[in-house]
Amino acid sequence: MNSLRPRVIPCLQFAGGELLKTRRFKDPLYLGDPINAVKLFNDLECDELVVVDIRATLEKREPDYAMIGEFASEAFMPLAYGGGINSVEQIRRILSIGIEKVVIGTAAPDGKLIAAAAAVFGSQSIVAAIDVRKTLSGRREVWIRSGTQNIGVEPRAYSLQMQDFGAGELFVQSIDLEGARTGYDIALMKEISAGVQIPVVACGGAGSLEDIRLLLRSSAVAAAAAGTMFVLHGKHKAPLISYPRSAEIAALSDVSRDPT
Amino acid sequence: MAEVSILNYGIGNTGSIVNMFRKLRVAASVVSTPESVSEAKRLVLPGIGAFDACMDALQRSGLRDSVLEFAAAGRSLLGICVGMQMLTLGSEEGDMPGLGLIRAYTRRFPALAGLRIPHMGWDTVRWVIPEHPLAGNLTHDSRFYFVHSFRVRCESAANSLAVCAYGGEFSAAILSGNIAGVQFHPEKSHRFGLQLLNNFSTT
Repeated sequence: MNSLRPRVIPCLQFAGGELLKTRRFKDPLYLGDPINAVKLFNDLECDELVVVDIRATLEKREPDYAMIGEFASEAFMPLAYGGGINSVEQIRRILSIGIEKVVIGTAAPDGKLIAAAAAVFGSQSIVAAIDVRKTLSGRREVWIRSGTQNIGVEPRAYSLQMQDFGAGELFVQSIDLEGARTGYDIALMKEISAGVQIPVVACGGAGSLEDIRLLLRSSAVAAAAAGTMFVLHGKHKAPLISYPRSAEIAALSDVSRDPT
Repeated sequence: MAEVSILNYGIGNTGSIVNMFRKLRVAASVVSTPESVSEAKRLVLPGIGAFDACMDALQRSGLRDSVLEFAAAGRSLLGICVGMQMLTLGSEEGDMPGLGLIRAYTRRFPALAGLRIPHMGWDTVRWVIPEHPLAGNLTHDSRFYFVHSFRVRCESAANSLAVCAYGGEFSAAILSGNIAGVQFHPEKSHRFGLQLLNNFSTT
């Protein structure tokens, strides 16, 4: 085998001890206890989990180390944390708690933190977040600070920069499609995954396994991440943790990839 | 007294390994002095990042000789990820010699079109020595989480406990008497990793 089956990754949002779910990075819906959600995803044997503190950067505060420790003690799969990270010392502390990967977004653009952290901890622990929003004219641009600051850079060029700085993986999210459940931004994921050598995790827009299948068939991403699809159920958005069975995930990539 | 001691030499994710032994209700402690290594019943050698960075950190921590003495005393040692690679003679990733406890060498993956490095994600392994205690209750469809850019090839097939295929076959687990290593992360591999660490705690 020269390729691994793609990973399917639930992405959980939290802040202040609450599990939340936003739509287009806005209007957080309260869903309950984030530690319990991590435990449930562990019981469902999910491939990997990403947890993001969606207010740490905007509130200019430290990561919630106590909460991160609670997550780590419930997660016997790879766990990534993002939110408010701006120093090597913070990363050291987070990794020592039992987290495998840190996701860096707002502190990523100049490359200094990513390069320094990759040199100390290895690229495999450092994930660059690329949050993308379309302008009215349809051009895609990278945003930071939880989608509140446009840095005016085009995502493909940015993804190559992040790879050069030493990021070991890219977490690419479409802000416009977040929570929409209408499918991924395939064009964006295809463009980025074709340009870089490092694994790309796609996020934003998944509503069904069919959306994930289409993403995997149409692009070279290594993983499909989703929030809403795995934490909310039905049109009334009832909180419900779900995750596909291992055989269902294996079947997602049984189709050969579209070479075009 | 701890059933399992996890070596802290400044590199490696001891937190998640401790968490999994806690889940197993196996008494585990993190050790960082020569005295505590020499008193350990079983020792886990973690490792993450670059080979030379790990070997250098082990050297500077003053624990390299302690690990070698522990291994020579015949007690169970388990290397994880780069910790497994450190048990070999050396690595194409770096210049420093390995601990040389197992006749194997850590090499690059072949340069094949479409072969993405690192080998990162869930993969199954084939147990070459399924009757070994470390493989107890683990079947060929057991899934483990891997993340590595170099892979181990044994000089003798007798040292290969489990194999995995990615750009050709490589050793996913290696063995020499009381010394063992796993390339994957059992502490991050759900019930499959839980089973393996449980097996280790009874070897």
